[in-house]
Amino acid sequence: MRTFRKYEFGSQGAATTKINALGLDDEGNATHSHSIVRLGNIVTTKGTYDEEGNELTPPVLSDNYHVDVLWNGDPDPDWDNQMVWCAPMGVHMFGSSSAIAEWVAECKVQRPELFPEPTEDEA
Amino acid sequence: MSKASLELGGGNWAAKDTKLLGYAVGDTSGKYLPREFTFSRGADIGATRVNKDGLVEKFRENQFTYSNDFRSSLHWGHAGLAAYYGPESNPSGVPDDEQGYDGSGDVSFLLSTTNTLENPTSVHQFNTTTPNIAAVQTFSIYAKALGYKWLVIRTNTGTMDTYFDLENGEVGTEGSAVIEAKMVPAGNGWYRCSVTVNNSATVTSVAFGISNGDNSYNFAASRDEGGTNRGGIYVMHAQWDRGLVAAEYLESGSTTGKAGVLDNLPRIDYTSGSAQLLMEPSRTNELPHSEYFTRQTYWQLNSAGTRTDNVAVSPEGVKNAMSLKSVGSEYNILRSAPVSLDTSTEYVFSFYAKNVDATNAHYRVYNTDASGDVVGSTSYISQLSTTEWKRIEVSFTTNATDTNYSVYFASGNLGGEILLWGAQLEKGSYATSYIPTHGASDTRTSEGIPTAGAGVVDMSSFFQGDDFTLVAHFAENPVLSRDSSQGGIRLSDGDNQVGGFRIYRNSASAKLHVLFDPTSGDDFGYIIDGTKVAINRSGDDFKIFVDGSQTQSFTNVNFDSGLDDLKIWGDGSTIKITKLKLFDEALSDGDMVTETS
Repeated sequence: MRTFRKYEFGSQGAATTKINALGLDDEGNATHSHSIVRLGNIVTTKGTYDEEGNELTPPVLSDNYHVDVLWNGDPDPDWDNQMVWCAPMGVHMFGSSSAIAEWVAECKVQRPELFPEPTEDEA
Repeated sequence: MSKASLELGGGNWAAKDTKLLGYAVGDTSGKYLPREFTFSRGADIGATRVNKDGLVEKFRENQFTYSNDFRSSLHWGHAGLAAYYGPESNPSGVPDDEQGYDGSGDVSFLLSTTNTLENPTSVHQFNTTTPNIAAVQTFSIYAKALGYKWLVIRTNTGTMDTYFDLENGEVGTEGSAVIEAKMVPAGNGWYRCSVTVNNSATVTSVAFGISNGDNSYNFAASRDEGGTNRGGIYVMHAQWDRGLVAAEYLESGSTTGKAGVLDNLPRIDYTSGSAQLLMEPSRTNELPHSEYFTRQTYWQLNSAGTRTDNVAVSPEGVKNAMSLKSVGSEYNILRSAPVSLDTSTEYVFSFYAKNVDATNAHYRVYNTDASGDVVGSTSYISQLSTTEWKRIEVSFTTNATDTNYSVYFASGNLGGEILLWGAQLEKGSYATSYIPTHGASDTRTSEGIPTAGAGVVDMSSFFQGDDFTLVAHFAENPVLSRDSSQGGIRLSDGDNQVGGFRIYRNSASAKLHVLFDPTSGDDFGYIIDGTKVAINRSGDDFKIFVDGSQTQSFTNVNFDSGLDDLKIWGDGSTIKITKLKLFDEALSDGDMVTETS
């Protein structure tokens, strides 16, 4: 079973150190079976552009460096301090539908305010 | 040829669940032959293949549970209903013995209570444990009028409420988040009612309700509307799809119904017209919307063009392709909102296109940080056809400083129209299979045999001694820059490169090569200039045959032990295998010629 989680680091270097600690061979290839996607400094506020595509206001990037991991098994507890939970709409995710469903369910446990319960009338 | 072998593919690919099925050929002499190879990918939503019909096949999921059993209060809430009749509770209570659009008898009847409290009258599913998070999604249900004539599909967001006139087959009021609402006649007075939405909030509940008119959800209801105990509507087969269309109905039970490219299912791909095992490296489609092009936030259109979703059948075989039409004297321009990319990195922008009547069609890649072209406006009209879809690929490299880029489509000439579908922007030197996105970028993880973490497939029960022959036929062997030095087909002693050999993409030539990595001594390799390869081992000597001829031999190669651990994986670069055979002996030169011809 694979487990999807999102992480945030203070810098790209800090993320790379953590990722490399999972295992690399002589050519720099991963020796572990987890899947890692470096999102980098993600856009927190979109830029604005004119009709020709020229930038009016630049996008605002996060100060922190973001990494998504699809763990082959349970998440490495050494990464727990960098684990983050966020509203699930419109953010990168990957893995199977089951793994993503598990992340969303756990996100709801960790950050219930992001998931307002519907009322009978709303339904 | 009567030698015992284990074969995968060869015109007989078979995949089931997470297994790739091999089979024995020739005299097996009572040996145990492992016939099932556990496959691993860890992605379904992000994975597609071209199926036997030549269509791009996705993973499909009906995200409702108990999609045709509206009785269970564990899965479906009930509001304002006097009774529920249906196949799982009381079929005999369904008025007029209605049998449904398909004659299956899977019909439910929702009978309103009599009230004056103006309550909602519906069945609804709370999906609060694992709420849906896709932005573009489609809710659908088959419905037919009886005492009441209107159906409403409603979610907790309050922006998707859509009304359907079941008597006249017309869509009424639509919510602000609705992309498209449709009623498709299904026969016998039934309609498939669907609403496709672009969602900005988490959908935690979906309701199918009775209405007494357009845009009227709460009303004083009567169970005797239209006759005694006929105050309701017929419904059947609810479905909740990702993406722009209501796909073919998929039954759900206690778990969601799933079909298509499932998690860990090997992808037998027919892009070339014949079956091949497709294994690819991990790639991310950086574009958040690969099919929904009419959202100005993500795909921005200038005033010289019009665009319309869902106007034509796409390479997927469903009607979800977009029309892009020029209405001005200038090129219209449809461009992606800037996407954040890595510096000094190769990317490839790809999309499917088909011509209608345009005489110009251009692509472009634009650096929005520097306000300049990376790939100038370039015509691809000569690649287009009016009869079939073409996949267009545009490679480019980002510069050392800028990170924001837009990709462009354009069609020229006044009135000229092209169709578009399946846009993809991925890091790499070539395009890989389509990765659909519906609101956020998505990643298809790499794949192969064995399952992740298992390392290798132990073939020691097949290989009785050290001699062997490996035959591999590839669908193609193009020059492709690899993503990394990983991947390929390897026979080794344990999960190590040292003490084994591997067929994978060479860095310098960018073609397939065989790399020998002896237990002691330097490694050495041989570039394969062909697609059909056989490698045999006799003692410490190896021969390589390519496309019917011996092309190389190596003697006194020092491997301490048998190479009886197999690994086949797609990291590093794409490989497309049409056949793989293993023999527990070194084949003769004549047989090697036969196997590679």
